[in-house]
Amino acid sequence: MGSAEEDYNFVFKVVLIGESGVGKTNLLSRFTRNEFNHDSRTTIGVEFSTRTILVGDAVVKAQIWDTAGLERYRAITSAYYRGAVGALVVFDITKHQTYDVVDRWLKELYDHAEPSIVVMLVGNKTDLAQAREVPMEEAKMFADNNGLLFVETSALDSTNVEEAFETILKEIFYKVQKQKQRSSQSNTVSLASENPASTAPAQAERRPCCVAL
Amino acid sequence: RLLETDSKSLRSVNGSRRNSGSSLVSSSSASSNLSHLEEDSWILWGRIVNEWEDVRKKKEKQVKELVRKGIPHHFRAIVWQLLCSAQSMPIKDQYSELLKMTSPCEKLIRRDIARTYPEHDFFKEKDSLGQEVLFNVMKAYSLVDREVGYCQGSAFIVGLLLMQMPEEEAFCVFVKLMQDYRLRELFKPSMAELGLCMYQFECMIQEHLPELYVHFQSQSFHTSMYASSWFLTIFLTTFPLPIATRIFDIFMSEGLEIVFRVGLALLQMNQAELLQLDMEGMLQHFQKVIPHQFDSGPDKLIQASYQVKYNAKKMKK
Repeated sequence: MGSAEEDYNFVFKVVLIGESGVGKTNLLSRFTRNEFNHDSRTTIGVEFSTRTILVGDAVVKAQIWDTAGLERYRAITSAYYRGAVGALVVFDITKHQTYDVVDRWLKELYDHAEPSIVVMLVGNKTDLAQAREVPMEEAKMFADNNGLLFVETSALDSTNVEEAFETILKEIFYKVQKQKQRSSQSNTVSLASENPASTAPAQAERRPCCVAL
Repeated sequence: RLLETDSKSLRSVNGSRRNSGSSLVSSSSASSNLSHLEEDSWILWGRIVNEWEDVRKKKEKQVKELVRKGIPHHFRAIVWQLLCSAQSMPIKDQYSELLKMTSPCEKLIRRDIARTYPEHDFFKEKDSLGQEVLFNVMKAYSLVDREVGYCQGSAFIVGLLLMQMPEEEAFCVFVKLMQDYRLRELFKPSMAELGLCMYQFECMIQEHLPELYVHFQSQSFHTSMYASSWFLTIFLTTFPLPIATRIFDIFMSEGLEIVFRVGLALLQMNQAELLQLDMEGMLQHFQKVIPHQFDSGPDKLIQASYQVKYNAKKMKK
């Protein structure tokens, strides 16, 4: 437990959800390993991967849970929403049906996750633009109206994948910072050591701090 | 009586070769010629298949033990069908009619076809025979069992059957497995049975590996994080096919108990390492290390799984 690359200030738990076959597993492998697998296998249950990135001065470890998209698996997968500070709700821009059910995924998410969870709507497979069924403006408007971040990606050609994860991790980070400020205003006895971002990231023996919003 | 001698002698070949009994296998083992052994095991399995009804009644235990050593590849199709009594099922005659019908699950099934054994020659090409028959069997099943319809995971089981036998036969075996092997319960929309399996497995860990159990608890490492797919695909999405097929042999002969046994044996064999790891480390260990731990052969794992104390009575409660 604990090596050089394991030094981080925050662990953010993020879940990947959305209909079966929209490309969740490949989005994850593109972000964490820069890999895309044409022969990706159906995800049974949940899988998991991490990547550590720099947000401002802070080292943030993204702990990303990739879930099975089939409806009946939700009883299992929804257990993983607990403690998540971010969620990517993914749909396939070439299959309108996967966009139509985003509403249901959001409801499912808000039923089980913290209300303050940061949610990003992700339209994946822009490399198949000629087969597009969901106009970008439509999805963007839906995201705006529902207070979601929005991005279109292609796990296949890497478009916006890095940006998608970076954006949501930054957003989570700022939310955490704001919350800290608020709590330190109301609570004057808060200790300096409780603010991990103020300490140098590489400092030895720092215990990672898991953040729940 | 023939079978008895043969099964004993086969054991002596697979295990130590000290006993040079009077049976035909040990005499040929002197030349340590693998093809002879194979030939002998073929003769033995040939007899078992020919006299199945009799053998099953009178030599149940010996057959079980032979299955644990692995069914020879060429006998798998027939032996699996015999083990689950899938021969001469009336539903087989409906199969071609079912294929002409439309199932509400077709879209769901289609989405998973290319994602089932995507690296296997039989299934990897788009619109190949493998993909077509896999779709056919999944669709036919979804029509005869509207409540379950189609559930992810089951296609890996059907895919394995299709690697051994024609589609009508695979369909019959799958129907049997769903009905008689708890699979139907596992794949029902509520998936409550999976929850029960997770709970039962957890109780086994608590009883047999208490230290590991405490470690899992302290790391919030839930059973479902690593074991769901063990049950839903009988390890077919965990291990490479040669290993998983051997476990599946035993599943065909003894049922879901083998998943509990192999699962606990895996934890036992990995306990020392797991105890050193945090939740993330353990997940990585399950995803990356364990799948290839037995690439040289599953015998050690299968032996260990039969040393696991499995209390069938307790499980029923």
